[in-house]
Amino acid sequence: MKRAFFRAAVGLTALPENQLDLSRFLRWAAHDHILGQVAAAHVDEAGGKLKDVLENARIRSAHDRRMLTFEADRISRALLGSGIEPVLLKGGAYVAAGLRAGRGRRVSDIDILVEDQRLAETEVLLREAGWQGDSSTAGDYDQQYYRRWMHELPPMRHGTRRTLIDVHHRLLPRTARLQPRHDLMMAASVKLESTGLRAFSPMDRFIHSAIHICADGAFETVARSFIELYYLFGDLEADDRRRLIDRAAEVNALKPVASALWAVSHYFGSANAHAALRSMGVMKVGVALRFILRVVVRGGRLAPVARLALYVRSHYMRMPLAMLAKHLFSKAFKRGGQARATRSGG
Amino acid sequence: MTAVRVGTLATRRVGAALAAGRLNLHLGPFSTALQSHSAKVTRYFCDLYRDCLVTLNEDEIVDYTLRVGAPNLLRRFVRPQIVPDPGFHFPALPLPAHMAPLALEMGMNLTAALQCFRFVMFHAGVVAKNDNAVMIAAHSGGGKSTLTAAMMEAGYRLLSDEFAILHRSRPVLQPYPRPVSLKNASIDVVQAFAGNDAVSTRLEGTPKGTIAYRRARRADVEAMNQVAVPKLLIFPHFTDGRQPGVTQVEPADAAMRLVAGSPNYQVVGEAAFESTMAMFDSLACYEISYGNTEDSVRLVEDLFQETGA
Amino acid sequence: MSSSVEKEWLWFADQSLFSVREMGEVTYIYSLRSGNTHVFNAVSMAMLQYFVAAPRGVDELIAHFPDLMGVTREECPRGVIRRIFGELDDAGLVQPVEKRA
Repeated sequence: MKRAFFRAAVGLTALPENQLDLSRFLRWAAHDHILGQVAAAHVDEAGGKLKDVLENARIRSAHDRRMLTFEADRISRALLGSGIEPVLLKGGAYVAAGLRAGRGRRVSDIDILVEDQRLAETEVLLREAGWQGDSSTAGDYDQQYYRRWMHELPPMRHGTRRTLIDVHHRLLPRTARLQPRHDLMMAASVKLESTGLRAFSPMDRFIHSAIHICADGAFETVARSFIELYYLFGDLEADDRRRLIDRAAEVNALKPVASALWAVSHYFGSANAHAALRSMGVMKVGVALRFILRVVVRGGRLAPVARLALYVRSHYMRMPLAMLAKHLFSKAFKRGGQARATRSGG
Repeated sequence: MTAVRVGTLATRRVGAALAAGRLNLHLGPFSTALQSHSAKVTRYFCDLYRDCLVTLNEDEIVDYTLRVGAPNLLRRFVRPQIVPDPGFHFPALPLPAHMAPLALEMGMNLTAALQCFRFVMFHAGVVAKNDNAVMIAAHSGGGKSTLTAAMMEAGYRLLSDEFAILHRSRPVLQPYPRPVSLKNASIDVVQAFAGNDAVSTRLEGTPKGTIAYRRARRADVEAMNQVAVPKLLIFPHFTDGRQPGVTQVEPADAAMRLVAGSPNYQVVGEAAFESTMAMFDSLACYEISYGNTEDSVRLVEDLFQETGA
Repeated sequence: MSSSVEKEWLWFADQSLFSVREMGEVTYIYSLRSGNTHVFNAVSMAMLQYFVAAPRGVDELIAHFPDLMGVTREECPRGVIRRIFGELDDAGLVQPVEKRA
């Protein structure tokens, strides 16, 4: 059933004909924040209440697109004259490059990647342009934690527009088991005509998405993530598809790419993804991970347990176990402290 | 199934459908799938929404889904609590279970305010006569709902107590006639002129004080697809015992105040700007101050006459 | 804004990227790029129009703006002009279009 939903969501098949299936499909899409993508993939099919629902989603995602486009413009304005050309990551890049992966996508913040040695200058220029440390991570512990261990600056929020920006200088934390070669990916990045900013090459976009989803994220938005992978993979030229595995090896991201190819092949029935996966030979996607993912996608009684497994896995992949324990302890302690302070203050 | 009025259904049937999440309310421009195990929600819904149309099936395509229930299993049984869950993360405060009607109405407001983008929503009560509308802007202590309920008695139909719902393509308002929310002293006032049957039982000790709801009338519900042209925008100021007074408000200021309170103006984008500006082209805007309900109704009626509506 | 950037570039306001409605003494402007609605008084509006006409530098603006408004330099100090320009820039209503020769 869920596989049929994924295929309908990207327009591989028509929307479910049966009214009950259609209603379940729409509720699933709304819950997983992909209604905008569904609406973008099914422009002509709607009538009656279905039309209302899809139109509503389209207006919502048009706003997100406008917001992202303007934020990209503001970033390039803030960096004007500095010679810094950040790489727009994820949704920001998909929208700026006019990709299918960006159509109808719900987004709330923007991610950029800059060279390590220009990080400090970037931060200063963004601050001058009105971005400030976000209050949720303004505490000393968080600031130190980010700066010492993470792959990005603490998130910054714009003072008047209230939008969030994540400034990355690498793709995963220094502590992660996986250390992708972001330097090679930056070197192969392409200039975006619309903004003066850059984006990864099509191949590297898929690889980065795979890293983000399969090695970094906790699979909190499975449907959205898999749809993104499906579109990015589908947009690769035949030549890129042939070179994908070599590139993944080169930038040290074989494992997440294998997981991503499995998802595209399993949920969307992509023969090309299946072929690419086969060509990886000994590389196999872990049986346990595949099982856990299927449970999460299917939902139901076991899903929370599977989610927890993915959460632990994602944190485990970011940092060695002893450090993880320390981090979780600090977080828990800090929360407790804040809660007490609030109660006594209120 | 075809839609039927809630009042034609047995309470037990409505309760079963609500518990199963198979009750869809079709009101004005929105369809909402409701789910609740609370008998108090059922009782309230059967009473205050008795003239509204519903379908009882799970395959309905709806704009919104809303669950009203215990925040967790424990709170369904021990010191029971109730909270609206519009299907997305929202930090709503759990209420004691007897405040179920408040949780339902808050939830209905949330679903539309945060998920509707097909229309531009403003925070205002709306009533109309001959399809010419008066918008009564909300601000704290203003008396929006009391005035809205009072205008209903003066021969105006209710479009909405909570939202002025503006079309994106042309400056007309869409009805969404849900119960009017009354607080504290205004409950007695409205009950006195609308009658006991029109007002729900009172909820004491809510975060907003004592609350009761005034039902939308059958005629209001029957006109739920009939748009109205906004002619008059009122910013009400109630101060007990005060002499009535009227001040004209510059449309530019009024627009700024109305837009500032809109939950979705920014998201809707250019169409929201164009439609809002077009609305203000032919909108008279006034602040009124008054010390009792009769004065406020008289002031609004006079201003409404002046618009030539 | 750093003044070197300001001086090095010419700025332009693309009329097709905003929608304008006069309302009494102010002008409502909707920016299609940002999705924001701005409320401008006559001074801000005049400055925006100045950049609609042609790409111009900030130093040109400072030199011409008092005359444009029919006031003396003392009545319209450069600090004020800079601040209003900064607001147009922050709102994304004026854009850098080309580097000065």
